[in-house]
Amino acid sequence: MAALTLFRSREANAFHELVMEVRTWWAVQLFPRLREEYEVRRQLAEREGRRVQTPEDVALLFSNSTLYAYFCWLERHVQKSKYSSSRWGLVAQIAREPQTAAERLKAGGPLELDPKLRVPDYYAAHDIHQHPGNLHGDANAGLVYEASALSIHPKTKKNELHERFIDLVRREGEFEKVIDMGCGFGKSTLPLAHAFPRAEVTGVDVSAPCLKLAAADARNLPNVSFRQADARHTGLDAAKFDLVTSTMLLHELPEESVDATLAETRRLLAPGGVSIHLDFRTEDPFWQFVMYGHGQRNNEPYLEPLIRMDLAAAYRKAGFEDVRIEPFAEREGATDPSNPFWRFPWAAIIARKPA
Amino acid sequence: MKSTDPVVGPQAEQTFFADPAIDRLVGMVFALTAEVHVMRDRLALLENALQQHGIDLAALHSAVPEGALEARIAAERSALVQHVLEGLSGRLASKS
Repeated sequence: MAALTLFRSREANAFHELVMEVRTWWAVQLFPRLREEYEVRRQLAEREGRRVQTPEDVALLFSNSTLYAYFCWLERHVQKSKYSSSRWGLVAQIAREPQTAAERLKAGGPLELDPKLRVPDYYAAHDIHQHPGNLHGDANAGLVYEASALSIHPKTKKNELHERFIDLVRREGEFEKVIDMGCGFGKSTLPLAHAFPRAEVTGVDVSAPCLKLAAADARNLPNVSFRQADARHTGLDAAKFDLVTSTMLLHELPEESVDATLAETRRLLAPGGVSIHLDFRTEDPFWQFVMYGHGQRNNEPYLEPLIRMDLAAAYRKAGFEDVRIEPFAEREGATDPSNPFWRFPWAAIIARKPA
Repeated sequence: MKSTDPVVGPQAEQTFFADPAIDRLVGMVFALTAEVHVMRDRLALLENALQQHGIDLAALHSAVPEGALEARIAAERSALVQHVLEGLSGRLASKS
């Protein structure tokens, strides 16, 4: 890990290097121990005639596990400390260095804000990821989110996940009119614009602070623009786009909003257009248990409902065909069953609007 | 007050141990870990600066470790995390 240069303060950078180190330790050392403990407890239960087939069964196995309590504690509180430590937490430290923030947020590429837009109630109700004030709450929220995202994929190189997502998109064809929904600070939008230089790429999000950061970073990219809008009703023209994407959007939406977002995706696509939403799927009861807990500990209450949802049926109901739900490896070998480390169970949901 | 009295109301943090005192104690351990790391980081930077440039404390504030110093700090950080957190697994380190 190269030395962080997020802040002018070396103390703050050193603190966040420690946070990343602990997060990595949690993923590559503590998690494999948890998995081993699960196997021992599962075998004991099955020898006693108890089947372990659901995440609720797994929860019962761990009900008296000290290791699991520490696993949960670290997941919850390292994240909390990263955002909210009064000493060097992201919110406090970014506010302490207003010059750095102002330089990062200098006006950039095209950005259309909607001052009348009211963020959805479901979005305003929770501080997602334990981000105080949420992803839209103040002018620095995009910078805080961007800095936070540095430590969420242990063992994965910076930008690797999004580069591999672009590789996946390329395998589905060449595209000329692209929408990236829930684009945040442009983590996938900018790589899309780079990968398809002849395409016109539009990033859509409800968070103005995130969009301002995305637009600032796009100042040298001629083929990308950003628009403040709700993914459920973007206000963009129907049937004009040949690709609609999102990365890590669906699990932040309640089920009815997932349905509305799929309906909007279909409306935006031209006949034969492709939809690729990257999110989390798992059929394994242990991983379902881990992810449901992650949703609770990371203030993402719609994660569990999304994993429980019959997404293929929802896509078909929304009018898509050729629906494929494919495991997605954020780094080489990540989806190999022998990989002992914690990771998000990524899946790409790829579907086509009938021609 | 019993040590198991939880915080009640909307400000109540999630707890994971039978006794919420443990949740809070671990929070203090984590904060101490961070303090120690940051102090050691600063010390390494200070020693490096003393060796190379004489006593110039102002320069330390915005110094960025590079090369061998960066690697040294990374190794110290890993060792510290391992040291403080290895007890969490509850596993034996020797035969009993």
